[in-house]
Amino acid sequence: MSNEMIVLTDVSLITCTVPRGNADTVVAAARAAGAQGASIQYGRGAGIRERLGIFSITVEAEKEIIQIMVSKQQQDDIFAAIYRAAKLDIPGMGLMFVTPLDRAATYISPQIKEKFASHGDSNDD
Amino acid sequence: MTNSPSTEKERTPCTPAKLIICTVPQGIGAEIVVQLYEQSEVINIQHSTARAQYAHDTNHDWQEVDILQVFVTEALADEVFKLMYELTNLHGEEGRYIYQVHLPKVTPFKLPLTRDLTSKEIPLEEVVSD
Repeated sequence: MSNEMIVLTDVSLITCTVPRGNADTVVAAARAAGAQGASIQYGRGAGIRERLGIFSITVEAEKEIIQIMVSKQQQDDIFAAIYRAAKLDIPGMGLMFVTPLDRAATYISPQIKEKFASHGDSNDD
Repeated sequence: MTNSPSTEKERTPCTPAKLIICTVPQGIGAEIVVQLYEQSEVINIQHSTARAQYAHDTNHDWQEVDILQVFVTEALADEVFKLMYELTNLHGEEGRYIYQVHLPKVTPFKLPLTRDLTSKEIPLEEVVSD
């Protein structure tokens, strides 16, 4: 089998920070909208909380940071699905942003490689 | 004395760079870090852990993963990306991926040389506070 490097272009990274415990719901919504996978890290929110006084207890400090690599075509659909699932229109529920990627690579099964190769051949005709 | 904005700008000699991030199954990240430092000239590597879910796993089970954030100069980005592709065995196994992001401004990162630290021959009495 060829070990030729296959690089994906036109991909973006969606990063979403939500209160701890909400990430599974967000990932489920993203996958339902077509996302291939996700990774979750833990963090702690800081900054604005110190200025909220007694109201700071209403904003969960412990956060989950979700990162999802998506194609440019899927980007808007998955972004919207996450926005709704994470309830980002409610104050204190989190933050989301998109980072354009230079390139990406992942495991591609032989079947998919073959499919793209044959598609390329047909385009050469 | 306060510094003017232009002086502050001169004091932060930032350069553009590339950030290459890879996600691999937990346990193999540490060895990749060692190999990257030995085989290439990266600026810095940050190693963290996370849990991840992949499309090939139809049960939607969560897996523990290592995440490596590798900072490199623009000139070396192609070389390091290819090296990371090989070290992560990306072409052969599922559950791992790699991507590259452009960073417009990165501060220089250098560790003090041990030689410089020891050449001063500071007596122990001076180091230990009273």
